Amino acid sequence: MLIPQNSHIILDTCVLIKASEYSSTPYFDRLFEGLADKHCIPVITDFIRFEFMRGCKKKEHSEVKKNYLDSFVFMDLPFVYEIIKDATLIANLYANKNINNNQISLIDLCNSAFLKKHSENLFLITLDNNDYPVCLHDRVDIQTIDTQKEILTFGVYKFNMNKFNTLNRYLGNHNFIN
Amino acid sequence: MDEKKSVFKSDGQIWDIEKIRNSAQVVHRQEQELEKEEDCQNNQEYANPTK
Repeated sequence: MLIPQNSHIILDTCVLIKASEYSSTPYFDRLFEGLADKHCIPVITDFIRFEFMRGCKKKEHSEVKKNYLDSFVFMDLPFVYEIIKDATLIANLYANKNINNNQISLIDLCNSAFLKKHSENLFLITLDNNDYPVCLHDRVDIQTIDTQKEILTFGVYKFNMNKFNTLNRYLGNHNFIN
Repeated sequence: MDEKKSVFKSDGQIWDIEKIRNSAQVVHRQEQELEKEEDCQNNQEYANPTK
């Protein structure tokens, strides 16, 4: 895996869901072993926890899901106001680049804002590669799993502050919201 | 983020792949059961729309 040793990595909701879907097979073992070999620290955000847990109808359902998250998520990155502010700014930058903002959800934008906040050592792994455009992110690795039923392409992303600063400066875009 | 603090969980291990798979299987079984329940409910509602 092309990711520095001891990095924190956000596991996107789609990764959590697919890993449970294929849990009776060894398909995800290689991916997780790759992250384990690099001593990566798996994290999620409050929003990812919300997205993963939202379908639970009963307490026992949420306990099963919570137990799954507890089995490998090291910590939840907490929401702070700065995140929504940056998510809005990132959405504005996408809009300016004519990237279809409707397909990129608020949660995806918040994930990018978390990547920006911890741009030194925070990465994200996702199957939704279109949600993390390379105008602001670096795709540092791609991992493919052929499950026979489908081909899963995981992208590993890092926020690129140089790209962000250049784009933001170019657009004179400092104060969309205050 | 404090990396030193976050390297290991209290049980001393970050990635226990066997444990992850086991708990993921429970989630997957639960999802399948819920899907079946929903299908049953939808079929009943379709068969008896007035109920």
